[in-house]
Order: sequence, then structure tokens, then C-alpha cells
Amino acid sequence: MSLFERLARLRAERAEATRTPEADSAPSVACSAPESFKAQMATPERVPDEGTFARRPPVPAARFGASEVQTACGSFCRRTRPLAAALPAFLGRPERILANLKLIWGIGPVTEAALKAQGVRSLSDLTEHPRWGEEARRVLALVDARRAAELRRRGASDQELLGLFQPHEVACLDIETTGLWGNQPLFLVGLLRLEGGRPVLEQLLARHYSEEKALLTYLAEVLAGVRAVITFNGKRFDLPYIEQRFIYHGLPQPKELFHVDLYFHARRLPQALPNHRLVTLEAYLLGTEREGDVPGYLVPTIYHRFVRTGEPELLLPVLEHNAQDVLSLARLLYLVGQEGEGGCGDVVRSG
Amino acid sequence: MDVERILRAITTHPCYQGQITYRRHLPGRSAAYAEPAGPLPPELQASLERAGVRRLYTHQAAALDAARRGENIVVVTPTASGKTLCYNLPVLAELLTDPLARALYIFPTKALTQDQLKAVQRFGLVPAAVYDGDTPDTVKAEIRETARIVLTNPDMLHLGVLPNHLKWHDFLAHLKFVVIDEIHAYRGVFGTQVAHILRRLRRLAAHHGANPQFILTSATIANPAEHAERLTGLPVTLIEGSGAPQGARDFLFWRVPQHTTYLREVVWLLEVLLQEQARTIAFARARQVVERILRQVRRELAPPLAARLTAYRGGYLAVERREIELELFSGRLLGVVATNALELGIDVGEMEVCLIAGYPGTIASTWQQAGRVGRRERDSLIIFIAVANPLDQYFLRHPEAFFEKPTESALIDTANPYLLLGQARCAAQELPLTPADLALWDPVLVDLLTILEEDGQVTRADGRWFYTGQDYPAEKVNLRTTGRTFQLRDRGEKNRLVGTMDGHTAFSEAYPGAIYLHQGETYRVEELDIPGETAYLRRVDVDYYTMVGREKSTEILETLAEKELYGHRFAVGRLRVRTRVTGYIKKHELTGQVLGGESLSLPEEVLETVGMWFSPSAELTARVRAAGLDLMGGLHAVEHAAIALLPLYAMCDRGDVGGLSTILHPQTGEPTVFIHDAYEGGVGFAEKGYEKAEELLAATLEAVAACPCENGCPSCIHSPKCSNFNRPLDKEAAICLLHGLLGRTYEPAAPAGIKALKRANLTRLLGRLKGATV
Repeated sequence: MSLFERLARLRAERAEATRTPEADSAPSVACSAPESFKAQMATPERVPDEGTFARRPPVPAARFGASEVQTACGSFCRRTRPLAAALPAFLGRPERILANLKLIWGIGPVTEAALKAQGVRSLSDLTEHPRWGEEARRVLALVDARRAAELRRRGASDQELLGLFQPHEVACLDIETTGLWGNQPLFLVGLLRLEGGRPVLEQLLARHYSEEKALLTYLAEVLAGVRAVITFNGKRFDLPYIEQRFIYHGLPQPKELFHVDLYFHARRLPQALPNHRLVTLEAYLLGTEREGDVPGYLVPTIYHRFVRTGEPELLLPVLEHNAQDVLSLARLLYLVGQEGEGGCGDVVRSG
Repeated sequence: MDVERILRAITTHPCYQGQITYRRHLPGRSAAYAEPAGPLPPELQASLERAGVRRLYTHQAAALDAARRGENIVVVTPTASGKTLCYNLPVLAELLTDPLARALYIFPTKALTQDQLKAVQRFGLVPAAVYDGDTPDTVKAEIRETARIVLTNPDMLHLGVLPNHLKWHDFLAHLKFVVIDEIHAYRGVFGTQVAHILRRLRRLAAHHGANPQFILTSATIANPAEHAERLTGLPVTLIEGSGAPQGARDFLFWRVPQHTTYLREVVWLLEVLLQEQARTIAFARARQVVERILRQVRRELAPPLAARLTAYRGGYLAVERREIELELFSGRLLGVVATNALELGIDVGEMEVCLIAGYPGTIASTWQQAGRVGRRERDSLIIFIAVANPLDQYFLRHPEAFFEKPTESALIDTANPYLLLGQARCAAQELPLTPADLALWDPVLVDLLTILEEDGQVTRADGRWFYTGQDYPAEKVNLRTTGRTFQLRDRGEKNRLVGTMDGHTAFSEAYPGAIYLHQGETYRVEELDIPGETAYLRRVDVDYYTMVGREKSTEILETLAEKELYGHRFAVGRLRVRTRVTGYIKKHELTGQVLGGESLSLPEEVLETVGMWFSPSAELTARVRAAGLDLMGGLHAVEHAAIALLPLYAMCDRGDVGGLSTILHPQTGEPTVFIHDAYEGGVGFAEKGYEKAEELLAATLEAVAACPCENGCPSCIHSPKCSNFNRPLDKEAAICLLHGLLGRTYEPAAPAGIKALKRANLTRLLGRLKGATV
């Protein structure tokens, strides 16, 4: 049917509707919110029908095994899950960075090798060195102050830098969105943190496009409490997306965090891999297969349908998919950490 | 320039036989200055003085004052009247006062954008940058953050800026001015798209906290203020009356003698002008014609001079065009043959003679082309060469009409549902649409959103429409045509990219076997890869060009309005037009003689659009038949001539409308003539024709009846783009029909048996031998 024909049909339907007596339309005025009523007044020509304006009450958080979170900008759902299987402590040793003498401007691989041959094991051994002492003390001060960004500029690796943080200061993060461009809302943020030594998975869910702002204000609080964030392809996707959503809602940007994007590490892995998608890495490196996993490209469609219908069952697989992603992040991080540590590049199969 | 010397050279040339039928002297005028109401910031004043501007022209001062009062303005002035100061002054004054303020400049072409960047940079006051398709990704973020003036085009705004508005937050939040140059270029389909883009821009600016003021400029059109208001959706103050000086100009009308073609005339005129060292710009209507003129001049002129003439048209690669512009500006090139691609304010320096080979379709466009010469009190010459086209011939007969006629209106149709549908998807993707947003657009938007909702592309929640698609909808909206872009690649040179062409044109100009001309070179199309959007060519040396033949059918989808005029039925409504390319003919390059033809089978193109149609009463058709005239030939001739004259009433080009006539239409049940917009969804041209049906037919009758030809010619009822190769046509039947349609009585001259028929055939044959016209 052509566009003209469809428009003609809509006009005919409207003409039909205005001819029928308007007996049952009166009560529905009461349920429309004053705001949307005002909005309708702004467009006197054709007023969209009321029914769709009245919002369905949100699906109770309990239906997702979650709890309701109230913020100044409204409410959303938060689901937490302590993880039974203790994950391997996923950060490197703090003293590891000290062994990297190349953090001193002027020391390259050759000088470092020479110094190590002389028995210099760590930056602390150089503090009194006539040539490198001053620089060594400066780098040590940076390490003490945990100035990760500056150390990264001096050439510190992500593995070395992660050692600077306490486990509870690091969050693995993965988001689910309704589009590929930051114009469209995000609705789910998965976070994995260590709380009291135990890994805890936390998922923030907006049950409606309008709950996104509340979710983001809460996310800002969470991020204010951590110092480093781990993602997979977050440099290109997750972090700019979150940034754009903060702009969209006119919220202040969270402070810049130390960020490790495992995608770049995955690309540097020596193993022959067909591609560097997270699922592939899971199968090849972690030896895990997902069962009944939702393909990523379906996620937006499922979410939009959930918003329309309010069936929580639709979203459960998406929540599971996101949980898997975040968990894999943590395990991949462990692998990546091992990578630099052992130096031999063996695959660690955690079964 | 010494106009009389050039004229002597022309009139003493052996080819001259009194072609100049009319000469009008347009006197020059000296400058008028005014003081602005308030002083400019000192650094701006100093920068102006450094550039040699000591006083402002009246229109510049008026523009500055109105803009400083906070009004949206549209400035209407001829080319080269210091128009850019009209926007640069208020913008720079504001940007110097408010260190956060930003401005966005929009130009219709990339070339113009580069030109204007230089103009802004000459002030040396605020950082400015071009942000368009040629901007490297590596500097884009920096431009967003640091440029206070961003110069772009509607395409980039649509495709790159608006969909990424969250990255443009700082810029949009402080957007104080939007400058839109050359708004007369934004008409028809393209203009409608731009109007939607500007509404999207206003909505996003408001979301980020800004309410920018608009400064627009336009060449002379009939409705600049109305057009500016339709484009922006805001009230706009009109600033007109140029205070800039203008050199005297001589405007000549040129009649092409019998037994020759206008092409020959342009060629020898160019030869004379180049030999006289006159800097010349020649405008031709079609890309192919431009190439054919260049080919012939180069063939006939000695090499050093021949190399100083070039061609310029759309479809050339950007680098090629940039180079030509530079060489023209520097004077290394003496002349250029161009299509209207060169019409838009690109500065190619001072030209002295302007040849207009064929009425460009609108009065406004003619003055734009003529405005290429005679800047700043230098005398210059304009020669209008009338081609075999009803409008050209009309102006040749009534030259005063040309100078008295007001310029046309620029039309856009923001209610066109096809265009709005695509734009609504873009808008919803950028930011959920709220009921309050609906006021920015035509009321049909609500229904379009319902349709998008049915198709699962938007979902309505909390009274807002959220985009639920996962694509990039701006990519699906092609601004300048409603179709696709085909690449032309040379097989003989490892598939080098020669040029580009829009999809509809590709079907009618790049079919297998077609001859394609580029910088005077001939290529034959070997293959048209439709899914791959590429035509493969190979260079050949041939002396013919090709013309396409099509088969068309029309289905009426909905009648929007009907009326009766003198007992004949007129209607306007929505149509579905199916076209299939069936073959082509080869015509000799010089004589236009038909050398042969080939049949083709290409897939059908379907166009849903708006059209007008009319059916002469049974009594009238009976009268035509009774007189022994060919009714079908008459209808067909009326259609051709009416289409050719429609541009008198709507700002369209003959190519923007199509037509079809039939002896019996299955839906009307009568002989019917259709005239329809050649764009998906329609853009209002045919609707204008319906509204002005009586005037249109009266003008058509005058053009056909006044034409001295006996049996129809390219000046009256032949169409250069007829899909039936102008068969059948019957001029006498057309005259009879037109009289009847206008309620006038007419006694048709009946053909006198076999003898007349033979004579008719003979004239048709003669016409074919000489009628090399496009």
C-alpha cells in the first residue's frame, strides 16, 4: 500500500471516529497527566488519542528479582547478586610497576637491562642513584599518589597500573542500549565489583525510557566511588555512549576514571582467533559456551517490545546476557593480567 | 571592456546575418552609503578598514541594524554587492562581544563554503573552520570544540552534525546565529529537505539551550521573505535594495537563423570572443550540451586559444572543479562553458561577456547568470541566445516581457509526506518527538508517526515518540534527489571514477549503448550495474549522441480536487507513474540526423507523485476528429507545449515535470492529458498548473499559434525529452483543442487530402534533418 493510500486510510478512520458519539471519552481525561495535557493543547490541529498517553504502572522490581531505587529524578530497578564461585583475584600485584625502570625518562630497554644486571630490582633501589635518583623519586611519588594517567604516559602498561588499585576500587562495566548512536536511550548497566572480598554483580535497569535519568544519577554515584573501570570496547562504545547520555539529560559528567579497554588487549593476544568478539574470546580462551544467549542485535528490539507490553519475561534473557558479559570481563581481565606476568603467553583455562 | 569593439567583431564576422534582434542598455549605478545605528567593536572596525572598507553600503548598514535588533533577516541583493558583510558584520560583532557565542554558516555547495571560509578568515578575528564531507576525521573533534564559526552545507548538517548533536553540545548550547547563504538555491525537493533540516536544527538547539537568530541571503526572487519564513518557520525581516555600484550592461537577444543550430552559433561566438581576449562565460542548459560546445570549439580553434576554454558542470570530481575555478580566477583560462552548477556565487573573478544559450528556465536564474558580468562599474555584454523552445521563442518575440516580468517564486512543500516521512525518522532518532514539537511541522506529521509506529520504527511512550530502529536514518534520506547516486567508471582505465550521476538520470543517460560526454571526451556506456549503482564506460571516438525512449503509464490513486472549465474536466490528485526505458536513438552530433536506434530492456521505475490532468469534452474531441485532425497528436502536442510553459507560473524546470497523454485513460474513460511532478510525492508544480490552468492554456495557445512553423517544431510542440521521439504530434489539432479548452471558437484548417499529408510528411522530414535540438 502506498504512503498516500495509508494516509487516506488514517484520515478516513479519523473522520469515522469523530462521527461516533463521544460518550465514553470523558473519563479518560482524568487519567492524563496535567503535563501531557498541556502538551496536547500546544497542538490544537490534531490531538493524538489519549489512551497511549496514560502510562502503564511500572513492572514491580521484584519481578526481576530486583529492588526499587528512588532518586531525585525518579525510580529505577537495581538487581544485585553475590557470585557463588569466587573469581580469581583479578588485579596484578602492586609491586609489579616498581620493577619497570623504563618509567624514568631517559631509561630505555638497554639501560634497564644494564641496571638489572647490576642488581637493581626496583625503582626504590634507584632513589639514591646519582643520575636517575631524582627521576626515580618523582616516579615513586606518582606511584604513591596513584597517578595512573601520568604513569601511563610514561609507558606503564595496564597490567602494571591495575596493581595500583585496591580490588574494591575497580569496576567491570557493560551497558545495553537501544541503538548504536548515543541519541537513543541506554537501559541496562552491568557492574562487577568486589565488596568485602566477594565479587558482586550489580545491574541497573530502566524499565522505561523515562527511567534512564534516574539510573544515570545513580550510576554517577557508583562511579564516584571507584577509581578504575574495565570494559570491552568501552573506549569506542560504552564510555562515549554514557557520556552522551549524561549530556542528553543535562547531568554533570562523572570525573574521568582510569580505564582499561580489554578489547585492545584481546587484539594483542598471541593466540590465533577467528575474531575478537567477546563470545569468541570466551569460547577460545575461557572455554565457556553460552547457552540460549540473546544475540546482541536483538537486544534493542526486545527492550522496545518490553516497554510496549510490560512483560518482564522478555527482559530476563537480556539481563542474563549482560551478566554473562560482565562476568567474562572479569575473567578476561585475569587472563590479561597473567599475560604480562608470566610473559610466556600460555592460555590459562579456568574451566 | 570596450563593448562596441566586441560588437563590431561580432557583426562583421562572416557568420553574422542580423541575429541580434533586440538590444537593451542597462545603465550602471553608483554606490549609496549609510552609517549603521551603533558603532562596531573597534577590532572589527579596524579589520574592515585594513580591508579597504571605509563606509558601508545602504543594504549592509540596514542588515547590521536589523540583526542587532535581534530580528531574523533575509538580505536580497544581486551578485557581488558585498553581501557577505551583511552577515559577517553582525555575527563577528556578537562573537567579539560574547566570548562563548558560536555561529553556523550554511552554503549550498562545498565550493562556496571554501570561498566563504577565506572571506571570514580575512578578518582574522575568530577561529573559523569548514566542517563538511572533505574534513578529515582527525580534526573534527577540534573543530567542534574550538571553531567559533563553523561553515558547512545542508548535507553535512543533515548527515553528520544533527545526528551527532550530543557531541556538538557546547557548540549548540551557545549557537547565536545561523547564516544561510543563497536561499534561492533551496527550492523544490532540495529546499523542502532543507526546511526540515532547519526545523531539526532549531529543535536540537532548543534542547541544548539555545535559540539562534537567522540571517539569510537570496538572489532576486519574487518571494524572498515568504521563502525565508517557510524555510526557517520563523518571522523574517526583508532587507532589499542594493547600495553597491553596478557597471553598465548591454543585453542582446539573439535569433538563431534558419538552417543552423544554436550550438553552431554559440561555437562561433565563443571563437570570436576568445580571439578578442574577452573573458567569457557561456551557460548552457544541459550537461551534454556543455560538453558538445567545448568539443566543437576545441576542434575549430587553434590550440593555444582552444586550451584557454574549459567546461564546468555538476558530475565532475571536486578536485577537477576546484582547479577550474582557480584557473578562471587567475585568468589563465579565458572562457568557460558551464551549466548552472557555476551559477551559485562561486567567485571566478571578473567576467566580461556572458552568453546564455537557452533560457535557463526562470527569470531569476537568467539574472543570476547575467550577474556574472559587469561588477563594480565595468561595462559588459550579455547575449541571450534563444534556442528552439517555446519559452525562448516567446521572449524573442516579446523581449520587453522579459524585462518587465517579475522573477519567479521559490516553492517548497513542507507538507510533502514522502519527504517528511524520512525527515521524521531522522528527527525522532536525534531526540524523541514531543507533542510540542509537532507545531514545528505540518499537521500530517502525526499521521506519519502513526504509520511509523505501525511499521515498528517508532514507539510512543509518555506521549513522546521514540525511535526504535537501529539504523542511521539520515543515511536513507538523499537530499538533492529522491534517488541514488551512480558512479561512472572507465573500464579502459582500470575502472577510474570519471564522474557521478543521480539514479533517475542514470536510467535515462547511462543505459548500455548511451554516449556520455566528459570534458569534451566521448564515452560509450558498456554496462549499467543497477544494484551496484555503477555505470561502466569505455572511451570511444564517435560523432553521434544518444537519446532515450520510454514507455509510460499513469494510474490515478486519489483525486484531490476537481473543477470544470468551459465544459472540460480538470483535476489534480495523486498518481502512480510507471516508466520503462525501451530503447534509444543515435543522432548525428552536427546535423542532428537520426542514424539508427537500439531497443533495451531495463527495469521499470515507479514514481508516486502529484499531477494534474484534464479531459476535453466529448463534443470538442468529436469536433477535432470531424475536422480530420489527429486527436492523439493534438493531445500530445498540447501536453508538450503546456509543460514547456509551466515554468512561467511555477519555479520549476521543464525537467521537473513530466507528462503523458492518452486517447483513452482507463480511469477517466476519456482522452486525457496528464502533467505531473517528476519527484516522489510531488513538490507542488503540477498543483500550481491546476490552479492556474486557464492562464497556462492561454499562454500555451499563444505560443503554439504564434509559432511560424507549419506543422510543429522544437520551438512549439516538440519536446527535447519526449519518450516517444515526438510522435505523433498534430499542431492544428492542438490549436483546435486549446481554443476549445479555453471556450473559444475556432475553425480548424482541414487537411486537404493526400496532397496535404504529403506536405506534412515532407516538413516533418525537413524538420528532422535540421532539428538538432536538446
